[in-house]
Amino acid sequence: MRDTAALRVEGLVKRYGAFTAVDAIDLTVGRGQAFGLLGPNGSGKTTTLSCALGLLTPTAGRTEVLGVPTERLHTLGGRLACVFDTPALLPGHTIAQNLAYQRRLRGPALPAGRGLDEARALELVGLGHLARRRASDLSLGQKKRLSLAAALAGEPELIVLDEPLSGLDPLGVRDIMQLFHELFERGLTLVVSSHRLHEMQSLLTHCAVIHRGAKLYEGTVAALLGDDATVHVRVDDEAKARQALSDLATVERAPEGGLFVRSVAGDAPRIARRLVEAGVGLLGLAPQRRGLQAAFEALVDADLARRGEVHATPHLAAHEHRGGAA
Amino acid sequence: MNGAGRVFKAELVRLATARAAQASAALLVLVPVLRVGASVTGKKLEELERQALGGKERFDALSSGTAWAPFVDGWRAGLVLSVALLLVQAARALAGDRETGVLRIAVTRSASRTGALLGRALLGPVTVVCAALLSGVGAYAAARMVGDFGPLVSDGFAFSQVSELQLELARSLAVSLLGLTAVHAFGLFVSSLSRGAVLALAGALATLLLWDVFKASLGDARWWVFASHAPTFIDGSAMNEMAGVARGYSDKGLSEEVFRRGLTLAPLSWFVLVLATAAVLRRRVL
Repeated sequence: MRDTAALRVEGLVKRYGAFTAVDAIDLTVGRGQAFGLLGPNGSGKTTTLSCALGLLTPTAGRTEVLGVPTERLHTLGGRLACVFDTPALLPGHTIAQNLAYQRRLRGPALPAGRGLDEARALELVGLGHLARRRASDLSLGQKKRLSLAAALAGEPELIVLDEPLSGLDPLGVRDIMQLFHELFERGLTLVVSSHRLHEMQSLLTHCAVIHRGAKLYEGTVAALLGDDATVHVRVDDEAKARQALSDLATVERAPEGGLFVRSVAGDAPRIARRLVEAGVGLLGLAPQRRGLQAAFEALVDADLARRGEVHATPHLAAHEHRGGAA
Repeated sequence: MNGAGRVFKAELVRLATARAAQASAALLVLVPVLRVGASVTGKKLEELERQALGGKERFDALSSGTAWAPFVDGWRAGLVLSVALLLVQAARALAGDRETGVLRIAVTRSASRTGALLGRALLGPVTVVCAALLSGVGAYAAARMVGDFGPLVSDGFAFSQVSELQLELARSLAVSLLGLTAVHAFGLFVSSLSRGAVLALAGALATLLLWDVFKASLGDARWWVFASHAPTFIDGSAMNEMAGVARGYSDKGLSEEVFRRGLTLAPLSWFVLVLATAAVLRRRVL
């Protein structure tokens, strides 16, 4: 059913002269999903979101939010909320006045018992004690939290977040991610555009990867991460192990010691048997699941290879194995 | 509805609670008071100089003890100041809000682009009326201290009755205030074309100043441009004419033709400028 989508993009094209920023992208974000729009800088993800939110006029294509065409987004009232990379606030006004301003923009109050009041939203983002402080006196992290509180107040059905973690310190990232998890558990649909893949991996249920204006992947995060195709082994003789596995898999030295053996999913027993048969002392063996960052890089690298280009920093993918191992 | 009403309400409260607006309101009261003081002081110095030189006394409402001339001078000063304030508000309303992202919030939460513009444009007339009231109150309070609002009398003959002066003031004010609302719409138009609030303000101010410099050379043709009807920096508006009337100059006053043109041209300009701004805003990246 068409109206079940929280956000739908069909055949979206955005051109700037001869340059095509977005090339015929289709996307569907279902309600209740935590959807990540992933891509390198300049890949077209912000352009895609901007077109869907009516901030940018597309060259071609159709977009709708919560079943409403983008041209009529204003009829949604408070059902849609957005948090942009740069906090959109009235700098000379207090936190409470900023929230009141956005409440007036949202329109009529929600029916009693529905929605999140402003005080509660402020508490949720940890700014409850600063309601009378001016927005211009807040740190970047606090401004981001205030933007989020303004988005949450009234309890929208869909929140679009553009780089919500940029500029936050590690504790801020932890708190905001915890908040996102709570919101998701409440049933809100989240659409997140972010570079912080490691943090986002635990939140996202679905994602789309965009590169150079084209969609490389759309589906569940679990499917993108794939099966356990990499095995971490610890052996007594690494040279002998490399030789034994040379025709079976790609072998790399693991940064924390031991070897990463890349083969196909479910290949761990065969790798173990081959090592034992070759007389290598097997000290440990653990299947590794790749991280979102590695999966993302693999997609982008494959796209670059298809285009006949080489990624400038191929070592990053191997490095990410360490951080992204689940 | 396109959300213009919601945007208007939100912007109205935003304006009322802004510190800059409160400071502007205080200025709008204070400047007319200072202008009345300057008028009275200047007239007294002139009188002292005339007496020292043994010159003949000439009629002037300021020296005849009525409050009309200082009152109009003070009010006019407040309205000229309000031009600058209206341009600041217009620059902030679109270019500034585009810079800070506030316009995005309106467009994604409650209003179409046209609604977001209309809500801001409707704030112009409200601001103009408030500015006129504030500066009028300041000018009136100060003028009351220097004289009465009686008829203009020379040699025992009242050649301008109070009702005549009130009518002329009302006509001048009506045309001037309509001109000011068009100036606000012009500020919005420049704001929609600009990348930032500072550029928008500089652009609008520079254009109005240029117009002020060259308008006199156009003669009566200048009345075809809305900015001539607003009390600007080199004021040639109806309020300037009223200042002459309040001094008893018989050659001053608003002609019926200019009055009618002001009443129709300024609202028409407001409408055209808002339409043009909407057309620009529809194409802009927010």
